[in-house]
Amino acid sequence: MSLKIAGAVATAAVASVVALSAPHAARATDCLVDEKGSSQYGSMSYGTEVYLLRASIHTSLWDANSDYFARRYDSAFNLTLNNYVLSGSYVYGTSGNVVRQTAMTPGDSAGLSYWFEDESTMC
Amino acid sequence: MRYLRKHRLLLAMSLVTVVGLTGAAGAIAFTSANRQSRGAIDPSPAKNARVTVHDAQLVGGQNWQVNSFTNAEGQACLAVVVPGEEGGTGTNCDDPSSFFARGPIHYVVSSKSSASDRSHWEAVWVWGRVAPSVTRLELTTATCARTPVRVDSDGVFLHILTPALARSTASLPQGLVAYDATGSRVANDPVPLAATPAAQHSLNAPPTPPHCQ
Repeated sequence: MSLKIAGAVATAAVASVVALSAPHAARATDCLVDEKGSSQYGSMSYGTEVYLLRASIHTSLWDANSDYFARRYDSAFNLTLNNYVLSGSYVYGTSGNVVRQTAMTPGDSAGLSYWFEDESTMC
Repeated sequence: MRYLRKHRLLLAMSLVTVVGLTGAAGAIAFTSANRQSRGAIDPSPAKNARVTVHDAQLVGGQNWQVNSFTNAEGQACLAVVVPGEEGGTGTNCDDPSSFFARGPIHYVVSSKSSASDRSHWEAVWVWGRVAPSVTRLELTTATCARTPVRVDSDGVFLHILTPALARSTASLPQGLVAYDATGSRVANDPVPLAATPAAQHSLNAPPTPPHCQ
């Protein structure tokens, strides 16, 4: 389901600089940047190439329609916890690792249609 | 093709998506006209709600447990208490009327790695509930081997693959098969386990349809 878009790497690199230099109080919407370099949050078009730029990830939900993946990553973007949810709503609570700095580097892309980040105020 | 169709459906749905902020902590939720809000569920029992412990298992020297309760929104919840690294509580809540809208098995497939080894899953667990019509549940593996899944009198199940099994590709779950009292197969659902952490960039990999007979 991945979709590469020409020019996205350069765009994302610029956006990354912007995100990293943003003040701490920047809006959470700055965490998610599409291939046009504009921030989005919540929903995106099918096939949108997405970069998470230094987002603090507790649980991210990568949607596949009514069923979806709820995933967690470590600082190197290794998948550490994966949950495929057939339906309903899912939340994962833990006493540790509730804030992690996750960087999806340019080139890591997927055709994601829906994105959710929980417990993040640091983007 | 199934997923492509579903994504296109979602694109249409996204046009009516509403983004909102809930709470000063920055927790974010969003809803649409056709879907429930996610991430904003209340994973706690409602006041005075009864919490039922369905299954407690000692696996690899660690205690696992699945509980059920009703939250303040009236949703029926299942909560799996996961021990160890990446441990915590995974809670799935839904309107009881929608449990079996897509079939007699309502399930979650979960896996976690350890901090010391990202190349394999340390544990894999499949959990959920089945409709009253289901009298037998089986898990199929990549080699089409079948393993009985214990279901309690409330239809709740929690099947855990020990670390040794979770590391074996041949043992990883591929499907869930349900039978009714006559022995007829009433469901054959995929178990879309994610690639191992070492191959984690395959986001949203479509589930592999079970092909075992």
